Amino acid sequence: MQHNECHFVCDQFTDYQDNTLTAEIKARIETHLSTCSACNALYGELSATLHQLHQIPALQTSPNFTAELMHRVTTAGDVGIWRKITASGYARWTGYAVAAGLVLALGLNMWFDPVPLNNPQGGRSFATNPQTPAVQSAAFADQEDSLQVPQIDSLQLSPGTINSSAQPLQLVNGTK
Amino acid sequence: MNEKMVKVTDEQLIAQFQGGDDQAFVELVDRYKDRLVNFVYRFLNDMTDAEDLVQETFLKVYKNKHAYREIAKFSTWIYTIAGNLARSELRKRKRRKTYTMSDLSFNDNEFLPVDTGKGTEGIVFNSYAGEEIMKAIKALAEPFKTIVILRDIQELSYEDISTILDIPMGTVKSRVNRARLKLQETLSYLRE
Repeated sequence: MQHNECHFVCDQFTDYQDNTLTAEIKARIETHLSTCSACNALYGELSATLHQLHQIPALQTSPNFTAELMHRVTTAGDVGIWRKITASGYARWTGYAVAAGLVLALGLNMWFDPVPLNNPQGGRSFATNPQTPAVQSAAFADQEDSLQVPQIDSLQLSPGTINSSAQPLQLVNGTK
Repeated sequence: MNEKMVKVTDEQLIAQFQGGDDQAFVELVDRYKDRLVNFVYRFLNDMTDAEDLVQETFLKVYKNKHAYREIAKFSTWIYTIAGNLARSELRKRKRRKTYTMSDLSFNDNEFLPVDTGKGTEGIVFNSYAGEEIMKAIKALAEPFKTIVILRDIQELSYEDISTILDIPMGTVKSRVNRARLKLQETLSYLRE
């Protein structure tokens, strides 16, 4: 019982020193201290330690501390935004990430769209056009043939174009 | 010091500074520079590093003045910044595995800070007991060391310490108690 009371009292020493305990607990501690020499001695030593801690004198900053600080404040304000960005440790890694992204994008583009860039027809993606390269080439040839229309100087009626007498005559092509 | 400033609270000063009054910032620097150096020095054990770190603290306050909201006391805000910077510096030192001159020395006395105290306090500090107290504090485990510095050297309230360290007030009190008992145990031979 006494041992438990010693523990309880030791736990209250800080509050007891700070005088923040209720009157009831304060009285209980004082009663214990008057009867327990070990706790009383411990409390005395603790008070002495606290007294020594309070004796540690305050250190003081150097006399030009504020002037130096204000100088740093003004020079820190002169640093430009670009310098802040480049000075950042993240800037270099961001650069690497952007470069890697560009290389990856270029590689993917070459993989999915191998048509040379100087093709006048522009690139075609096999991913969106299911035609095989052979079929695609034939389609290109047909397209070129259809563009080779002979030059004519007069209006011509092409057979098969008009298959009804009610159908009006149409100018298909020609220059005059 | 401007006489008008004496009556102004820290919170009013930071509000003035947020409004663009740099003189209010200078006043805050004057109020806190010594307190913060005393706080930080107990971690770093180097006066030059401590001053440098306190300057960093004020620079952060200057640059992030609008981050302060009057939901907390200015003192707890600035102590939190300084404490975080000190812990960060200690972690860097640990990674670099550097040693202070005090660590390398066989005799710590030659590297104790030059006493700037006046009168009897300075005499007490230069005494053997004063040096032993500093060693005992330094030897405490990190949470207890911080608590003792804030409570028994800086003499901050339990409430402020609770806010700065972001721990419940009951934990603060119990740690203070345990830290003092540990110090008493370490320093008991001085009284024999």
